[in-house]
Amino acid sequence: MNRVALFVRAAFARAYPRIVGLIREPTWMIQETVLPILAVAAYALVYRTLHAPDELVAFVILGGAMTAFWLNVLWAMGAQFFWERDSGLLEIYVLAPAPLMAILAGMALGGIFMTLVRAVAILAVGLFVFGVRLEPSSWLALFGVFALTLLALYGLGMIFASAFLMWGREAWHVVNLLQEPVYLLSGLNYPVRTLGTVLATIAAALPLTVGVDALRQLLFGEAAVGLMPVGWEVALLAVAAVLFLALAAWSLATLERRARAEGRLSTRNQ
Amino acid sequence: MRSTLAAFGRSLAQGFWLGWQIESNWARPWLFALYTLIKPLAGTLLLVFMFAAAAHATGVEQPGLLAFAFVGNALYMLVGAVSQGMTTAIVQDRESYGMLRYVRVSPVVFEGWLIGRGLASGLKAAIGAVWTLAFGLLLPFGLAELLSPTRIDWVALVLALALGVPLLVGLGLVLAAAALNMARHGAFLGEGVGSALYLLSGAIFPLAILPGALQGVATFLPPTLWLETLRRAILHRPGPGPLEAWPAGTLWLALAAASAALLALGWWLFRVSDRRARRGGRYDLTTGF
Amino acid sequence: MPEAIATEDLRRTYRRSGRDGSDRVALDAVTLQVRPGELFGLLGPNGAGKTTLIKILTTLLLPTSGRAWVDGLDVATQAEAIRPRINMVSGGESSGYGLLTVRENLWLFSQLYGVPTRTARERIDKMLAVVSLADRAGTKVSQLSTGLRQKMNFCRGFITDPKILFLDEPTLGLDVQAARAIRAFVRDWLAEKPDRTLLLTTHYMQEADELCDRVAIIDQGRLLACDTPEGLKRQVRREATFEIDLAPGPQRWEDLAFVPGVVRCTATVDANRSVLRLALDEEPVVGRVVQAIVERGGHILRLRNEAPTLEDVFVRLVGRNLEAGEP
Repeated sequence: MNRVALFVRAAFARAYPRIVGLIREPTWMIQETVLPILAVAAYALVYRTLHAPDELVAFVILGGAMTAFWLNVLWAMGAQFFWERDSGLLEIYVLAPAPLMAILAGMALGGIFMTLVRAVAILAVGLFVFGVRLEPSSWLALFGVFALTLLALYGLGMIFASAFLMWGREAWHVVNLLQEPVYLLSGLNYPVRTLGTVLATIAAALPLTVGVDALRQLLFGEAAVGLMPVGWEVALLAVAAVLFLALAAWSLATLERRARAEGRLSTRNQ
Repeated sequence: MRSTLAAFGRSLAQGFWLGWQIESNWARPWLFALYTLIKPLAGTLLLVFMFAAAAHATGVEQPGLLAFAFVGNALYMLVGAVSQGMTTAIVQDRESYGMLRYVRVSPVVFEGWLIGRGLASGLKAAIGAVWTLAFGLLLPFGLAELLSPTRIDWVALVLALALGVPLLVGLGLVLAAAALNMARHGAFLGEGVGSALYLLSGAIFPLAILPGALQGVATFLPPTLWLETLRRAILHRPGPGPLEAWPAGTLWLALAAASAALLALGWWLFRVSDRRARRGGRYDLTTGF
Repeated sequence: MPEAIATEDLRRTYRRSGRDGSDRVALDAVTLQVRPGELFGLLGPNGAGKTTLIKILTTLLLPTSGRAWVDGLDVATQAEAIRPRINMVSGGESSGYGLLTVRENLWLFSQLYGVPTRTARERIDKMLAVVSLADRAGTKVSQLSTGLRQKMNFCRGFITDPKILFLDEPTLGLDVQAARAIRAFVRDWLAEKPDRTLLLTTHYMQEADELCDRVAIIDQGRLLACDTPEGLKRQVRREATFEIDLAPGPQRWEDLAFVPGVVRCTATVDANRSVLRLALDEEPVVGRVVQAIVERGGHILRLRNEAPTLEDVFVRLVGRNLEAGEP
């Protein structure tokens, strides 16, 4: 059996329920458009109340759009094995010859449309309601950095997903715990330098921090108060993408083996 | 009547116990404590850094507004927790644990059981809120003085919290009613509506910044009234915005009426939704995509 | 040719999950071999270790000690090589994506094994017909009853055309008709290709007796016996036993003991009938006994074969019946 063909088949197959679900259960549209816009608008209005420069409002809009991807990484991929275990599907996936990374890639692929809709909705509000202007120095560079950021983020998501092979609720709570601290450290709503040198240095280890900072610099230039030159950030993201994907492959294999050793693959209803 | 109340109380206690177990027994106590304290604090510090960024950019510090947002954000966690706690209970118990149908066919008072689940989440959020407010005493920008415990009107605070319980329960029942007839992503409904109320309840900015019509609606939302009441008790002054001119008595009356109305609405909607769910066989629906 | 399945001193313990906090032994030094082409049954009560054994063989669980091979490959170190060759169906399983139809779910699972879509469609249609689910192929799984979902999951095991298939209580919770259809299909499926092997766990004696070439009896993690169903029954009782009810009459029947092949004959007589209990060397001897009875003018009211069942075998080996649970 051709391993590449198997990977592609399995990824597409796993993306299928996600894609079909968008059509058969359309209520997601409200929760992915109207409601996230409101949350982002709240932060934007905080800056308006403080009479902050328009760039800070734009940071909130961009941060909100990138948050959509971070949440997709955490919940639509990272924690999905939690749900699959409970429904008995995790065992079927482990039993099958298709690699788990293919399953996760399929989840990411299937979820990306919903995420894009959310992100675009937030950007649209930024453009038309808050008058944010997005004029990148290079659209190609912007999409390149965006794609690299996503690759690194999804690699990280696969590492999280591997934790769910071993742990159920504990892993779910840890993933849940990561939401707000990551928002805080990645400077989604403000220049990362506001955190101070120590915290900003720690924050630079997160692909979301570096990716958003690079995107902001491409969009707003010096007003972005960048953490480091864009070139460095692109390099960091590239390294992170390769590292996280490699770590994900190792982590999935290692934790699968450990889960098999401890009989955790079947533990349900945690 | 007494037996009905007793049954309700038992169901509530049982739901609360189960909810607390689900919230807490996944980790050792120290890890659970860490989790309970880090999340709310990180969410509130996000605001603090936003204020710092704005202050750096404009050269103007606004401690009064920071205190307004800080307190509002910390207390708003209770709104999200109770409402999300109930919707999560519906979806999780139905789709993950497969137990919702068994609870429903048991003699338990289902609304009481569900409210208990929501209150368990609320307790966890309350711990986080108290901790966050206490942490605020360590932060710069004059928060220590503004949040000082000696300035708090404790009687008003306790009364406001008490009035908030039926309010939050009512809101939770409204959302749980919707989730009962939705697929798995109904669990995010609580979060989504929470986001909407976050914008409209003046949690982190004065409502005066909103457009006129929206301001009018937002002013009378129950969570808006509740947060304003709580803020007045803690900060000892009205927050800037449409409610600033409201006398205390009017505010209390409005809050009491809103709480009662929301509870009644939530209860009724849940009953309607329950009938619909039973007609549509939704109590053992699994979606999972 | 390697054995299809082999285990050697296989042991699996779960740490601190015993009643007193001690380690719980789920499998204890299990050694068995399953030949290619065999339909092998694993019989035992709930908690005997059947599912644990299957999970080890299907690479979902690692043994604590000992070794196991599937198609000559080590389950602990060669799991990836094993997985394309096997599949598993657990009875009572209702897994599936509720939002997808039956056909879509089965297609999805086929893709995890790299089955081309056209081939998958053909196999899906065939399997759905076997379990009488063809008319629900386009129904969303969330709208199916538990029993129908189980049928769907049964199909899932076959659409990948595995070389070795593990069925863990496949007819659990299914109606009589469905269970019969499944048993018939399983026999035919094995007969189609000589290198297909099937390991079936069950606690239904009749199912094991009817289907299996050989049966292993397992209890509290230990393998107690392994033989053909007939061989196992002979362990309990070597002779064929019959009970014959005769109409009342003047004849005396004790001397039927002298018919060649009759080991023992006891007769109980009352006003309504005579009851003969016979132990014979082998089953065909009953023909001679019946002839002798007829020649003497006897009138047979009823003849019953008191052959031992697998339950008798189990009781003899374990000291309690299958439904009694743990002592």
